[in-house]
Amino acid sequence: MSFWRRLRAMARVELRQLWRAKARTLLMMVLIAVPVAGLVGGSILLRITIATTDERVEKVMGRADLRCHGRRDALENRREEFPPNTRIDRLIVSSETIEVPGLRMVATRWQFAPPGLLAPCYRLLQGRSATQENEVTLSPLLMDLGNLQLGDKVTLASRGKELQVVGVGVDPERIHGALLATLPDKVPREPHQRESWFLKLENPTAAASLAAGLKSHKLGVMTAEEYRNLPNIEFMIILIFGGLGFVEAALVVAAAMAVGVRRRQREIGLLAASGASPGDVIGSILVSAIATAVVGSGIGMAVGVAGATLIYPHLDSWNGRLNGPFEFAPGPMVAAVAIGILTAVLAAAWPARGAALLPIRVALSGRRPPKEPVGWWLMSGLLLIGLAVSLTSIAPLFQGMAVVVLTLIGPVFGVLGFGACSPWILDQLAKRAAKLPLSWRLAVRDAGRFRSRNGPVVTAVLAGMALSVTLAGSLASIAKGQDGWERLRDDQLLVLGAAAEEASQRIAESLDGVARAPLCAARLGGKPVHGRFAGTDRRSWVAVGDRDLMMALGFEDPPPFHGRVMALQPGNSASVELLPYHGDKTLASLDALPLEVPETLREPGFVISEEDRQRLKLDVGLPPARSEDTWIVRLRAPLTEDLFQSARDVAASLPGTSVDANLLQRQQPRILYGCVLILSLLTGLLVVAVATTLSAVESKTDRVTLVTVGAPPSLSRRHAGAQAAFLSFLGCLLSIPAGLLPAFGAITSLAGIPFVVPWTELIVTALGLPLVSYLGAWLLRRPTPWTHQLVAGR
Amino acid sequence: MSETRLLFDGASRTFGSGRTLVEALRPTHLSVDAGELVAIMGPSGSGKTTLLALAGALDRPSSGKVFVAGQDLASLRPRQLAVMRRRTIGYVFQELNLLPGLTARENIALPLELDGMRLSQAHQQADSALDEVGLFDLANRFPDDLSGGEQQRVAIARAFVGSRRLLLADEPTGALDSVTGEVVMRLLRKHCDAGHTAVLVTHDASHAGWADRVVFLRDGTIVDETGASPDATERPISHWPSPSSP
Repeated sequence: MSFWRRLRAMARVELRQLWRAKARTLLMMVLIAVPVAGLVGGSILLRITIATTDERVEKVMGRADLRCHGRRDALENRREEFPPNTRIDRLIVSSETIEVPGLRMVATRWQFAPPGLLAPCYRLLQGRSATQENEVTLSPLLMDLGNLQLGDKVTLASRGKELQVVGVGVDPERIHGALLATLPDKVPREPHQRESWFLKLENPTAAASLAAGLKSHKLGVMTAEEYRNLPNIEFMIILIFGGLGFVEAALVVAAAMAVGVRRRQREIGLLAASGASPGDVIGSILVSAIATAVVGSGIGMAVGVAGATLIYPHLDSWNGRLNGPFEFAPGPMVAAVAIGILTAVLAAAWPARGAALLPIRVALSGRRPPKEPVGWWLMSGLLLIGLAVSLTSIAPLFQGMAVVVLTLIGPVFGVLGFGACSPWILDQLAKRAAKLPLSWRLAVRDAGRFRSRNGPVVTAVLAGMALSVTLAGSLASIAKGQDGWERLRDDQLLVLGAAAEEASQRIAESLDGVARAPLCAARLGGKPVHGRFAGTDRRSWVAVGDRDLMMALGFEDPPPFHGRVMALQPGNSASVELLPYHGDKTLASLDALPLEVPETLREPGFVISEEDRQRLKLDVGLPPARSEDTWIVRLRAPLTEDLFQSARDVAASLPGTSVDANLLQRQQPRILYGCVLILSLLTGLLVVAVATTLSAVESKTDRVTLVTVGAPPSLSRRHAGAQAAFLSFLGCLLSIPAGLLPAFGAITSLAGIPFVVPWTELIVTALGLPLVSYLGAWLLRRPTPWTHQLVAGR
Repeated sequence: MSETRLLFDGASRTFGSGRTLVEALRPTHLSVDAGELVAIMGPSGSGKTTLLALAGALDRPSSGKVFVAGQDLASLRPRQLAVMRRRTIGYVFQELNLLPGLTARENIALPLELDGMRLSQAHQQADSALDEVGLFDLANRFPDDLSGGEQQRVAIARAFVGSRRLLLADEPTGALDSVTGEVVMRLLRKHCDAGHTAVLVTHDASHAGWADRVVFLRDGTIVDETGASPDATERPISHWPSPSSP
């Protein structure tokens, strides 16, 4: 009972202290409120987007217990394995070109018979489903592009006849997609064509064993139960960003609490001298942290709900899905508040412990307590880094959820490990700062002296920046890996469509083209012929062309063909075998002329001359995976946004013609990296701003001393700039290994992709935030007001 | 005739306005010559620290003028005042005089470094100053590793390093024991005997006994000014001039 009375008395002092130090209290509340708001808002929006796991499953699996995918003949061969009374609904997905007067649109075509097991996978927004062969439903995008109404007629290129639009429907998971749905064609399908089968079993528990059997025959199979257990990517993203936000908040709140406790050292000493036990001191500081966190969490919850309410009306257009009605997510909301309070308690625990263990005499003297040894931090850090490396290394050995968990935990340990090393690093750097200019020397030494407060600040900066480093490393590696599959060089354009020839000519003339040529494939029986170096496995399709094609593919001075096949891929054999699409029967074997390809292209792998094609009695047709005429144009210079726009304008002036370039395929990752980098920089800036402000408050007496020895007014600014830049530089520097580690782990687990160090992005990371921090602190710190009040207030 | 290092020509300092107006220092006339050690005494709130802040160019007078080494401080810009502080004036407080991030040597070399002197040269002069105060062996120690007396000796060494000739000390012995306090006072006396000038604010009559002259302040006014007798510390306090006497 007496403990509670003592705690009440102590808590009263603490709560009044919160009111006295309003700015710091407000700062801590905001730091707690921001991640709580993010988590509350995010969980509400997630709840709206994917109301329940069952609904998520239904949107992909329909009402089926099992969905399998593969060649039609392979699926038919397995039919006898299906339990009796199994209902089978088929979905055939293909590419289709829709023609309306003056316009051709490429879309995805679904063929299925409604209503059926697939009903939840296709949502009708208007009209009705197609019930006859000459009817079609289109997605809103196609309706808009074609300026169509219900009842209008469209032509499907594959059927060559008109169909009437009877409804508007979407895939609920991709409402912005170009999608059309019809009944299945009555024309018998080729055995090798692929289909998806939706199976409803009389006994759903048999789905797992059936799936195992089908998988053994190399068919793509997913049961509803398996899909239900798949990691929810959106939830993981919210969890990662929310968790990161709380870690950052905890670290900065810990630093703010440490400054508060240090400033109140004498007061705490007085309380202890008046009879407060160490437990009372810890308890009272924790009570004040909880009070701050409760208010901060309340503010965060209100902001999160308000944010979700504002976003909700735009959610469908943002995420491209049909989202559910607005509803709260009570569980995650309560969890967010609880995590917010727990964060504050954890952040306050270390400074509270330090205050409680301070000898009363030292506390009353107001002198800085003896420095804590940093060796323990270094050992802990190295241990955590070791754990991170181990987890990242073993993650690829696991499967399913375990991979996700290990892949997430590894980087967290890495960040914490490098962060735990930071007090030791700060201490070591402080000892070696003697030769630095004064402002930098003071900054580095101060950072070392206040290392227990600055360690969390460095960790918070590195946690944020590590995310962008991980992304930069992953994207650079994937881009490098994709170089081997690049479809186009930077100076090439594909021109597609009915008027591709004319459009390519106009583009080549207006944009200074080096060469242009049609992209055609050697075919046999309608299927593309493949080539491979004798004795190897790697196959690639064979183009038919001449000198112009070789130049368009990137060769400045191509050699004559003379009955040889031009090998655009590296290979170690003197001959190339031509093979049919199916099977390994060699059609012909030609001498190979391996060429040094300026930039490796994914397609085609080989080129033969028109004479050789005729000699080998091969057909000529469209390249694989293309449904319209395709011409390739090479320009004298790499394509720019402006040049690409000019090419698009040319194509748009001709009916049913379009252009494609690598430029389009590279933009999204860059935008994603840019967004994450900006987010990381802003987070880092906020953290450094808080740290610099706290430091300014704590080092007021040092500023007075500097005045009295004749420091120029500008020194105060340079000192603040150096403090901010040093802490952010150290954080950014440590974020490089902390961020590259998970990127390395993730990339090396993907076979065939080399890990690439993104030097440019690393330099931006290492120097960007420090520079901005320096400038920000320099601008925000006013020159020291050298007044009597400042001296009197020491 | 000896040179005047510090001159208060009717300088005053007020804070606030209207009903909250506080006259921290009323118009004051005071002159301190080279080689002189002047002690300022008076009760709390009498204006001692304000007087010292005006003398140290840390504050500007509300009226009147303050001259240091013949230079009117009011005529100087902030940057020139900073130059004045690092070349002419040294300041010592009761405590927290040193930058905790710099070693004893670096603290002493600080004004020289700020003045653009090469670091190695500044360190050489700092070492000489440290040697003079008997702390050469502690040159690489940080302030947190020094005792209070050692810190004050370092602060005094810094206050006189380079070309600086005027030391302003605000209760430099206030946080020290009597023996250490005496060491500090002896040091100040030694510097003044060598031609430096010092103005010392103190509550301690025994320390005032080291001064050439004692100035008594009360309610912002100099109420008395006297040369301390060699045996000032032995005289009973009641024999000292009354602060309220004209």
